[in-house]
Amino acid sequence: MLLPKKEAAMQFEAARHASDEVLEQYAMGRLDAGAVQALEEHLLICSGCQDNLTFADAYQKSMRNAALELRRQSSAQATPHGKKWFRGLVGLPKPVWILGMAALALLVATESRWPLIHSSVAQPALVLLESKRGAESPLNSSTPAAKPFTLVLDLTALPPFPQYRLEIVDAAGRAVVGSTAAPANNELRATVAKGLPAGMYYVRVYAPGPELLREYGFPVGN
Amino acid sequence: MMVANMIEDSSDARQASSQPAWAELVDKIKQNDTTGLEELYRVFSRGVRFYLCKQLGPQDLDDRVHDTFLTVAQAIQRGDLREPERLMGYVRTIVRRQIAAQIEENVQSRKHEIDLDWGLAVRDAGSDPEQIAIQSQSEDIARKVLKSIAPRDREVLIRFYLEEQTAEQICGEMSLTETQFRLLKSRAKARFGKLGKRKVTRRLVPFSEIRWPSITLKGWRKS
Repeated sequence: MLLPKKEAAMQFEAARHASDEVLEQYAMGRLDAGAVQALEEHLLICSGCQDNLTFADAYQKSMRNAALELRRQSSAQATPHGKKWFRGLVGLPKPVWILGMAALALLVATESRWPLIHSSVAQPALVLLESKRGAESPLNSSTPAAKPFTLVLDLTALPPFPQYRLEIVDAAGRAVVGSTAAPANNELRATVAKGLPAGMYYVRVYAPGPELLREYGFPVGN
Repeated sequence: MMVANMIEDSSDARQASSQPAWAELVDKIKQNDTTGLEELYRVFSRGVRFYLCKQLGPQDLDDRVHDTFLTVAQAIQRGDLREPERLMGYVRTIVRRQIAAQIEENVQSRKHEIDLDWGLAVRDAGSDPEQIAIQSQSEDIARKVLKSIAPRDREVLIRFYLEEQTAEQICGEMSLTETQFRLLKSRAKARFGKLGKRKVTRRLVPFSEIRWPSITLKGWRKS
């Protein structure tokens, strides 16, 4: 049986270290608030766990970025594969085509409300915003300009609320997008359907009230 | 048994057990005993530095650590800490407040800098070249690890690290047991460590081995 999150909410006793699994969960923002508090208090006095967490952070970040790149590569390879499939279809013998066209005509005749086919709806790019960086040193992933993207905000160490208010401001501090989002798995997701012009942007996370909880920076490229 | 799986004994860990009796330490600080302040600094300095550095980066780190200790010491002397056993939690709360205040300050200062209209004297927000190189090498290794394993195993890791699916969900959808899932992850991590041994670990200095300059508490005044 897998370990439920609440099981991790142990008090870290003296002469005990946090396990790799707990550190990994913390690095990925998956520990619940109680466990985060216990771990962070332990981290204040345990240099061994500080080192292990540094490694866990680096490993998790590297795996995520590498996985993202592999996923992008496999998506890019999917298009030529589709063309190959189409070429194979064209190469079929004529009787097959004739039968196919007949079936299509029959379908059109019987189905008055032909469903719309949405071809190649662009998947929004993922922009992963992490909490572990300098306030003036945003190291987040970027997204192309004027393309839809989904922000994935890491809520590690933030006080839990049923909903957070999000605001995206440009480098001049002007609000360009505002929204609210409910957290899931200790992260917030928000999609900006029309994308943004190139430049540096900042995502601000607010409590349901006016209190600013965190700010993440991310570049939008050309 | 589950909890036992998540925390581990080690000889190194026993060093952590040398934490002081909080009540005694708090008492010393209340009485303005210098040894109390020194002990407070000895116990928490590395952890506070680690936490601040992780959240805010290395800029002005010494000043921030210093400010944190002054705040903690002064608060203890004012009697704000009612339960000395909760000293660790209290220090954590103060560090978190410092971080929140710093972020708020950054937001405000950015607004003011823009209003002054001095042209675009924008601070370089990127990582330094060494950090970029280390991160890039690290990602190369992770890519090698992912490419070297079976597609099904790769899918498991991608689901976990990129799509952030839960272990339960992955195991359920991919018919894996908890043990298989853990083994897969730990093997990938071990391979990452092995491949990176030559390249990355040689360059990465563990946080605990960094020699930080000592900070004196000269600026501290009893309120």
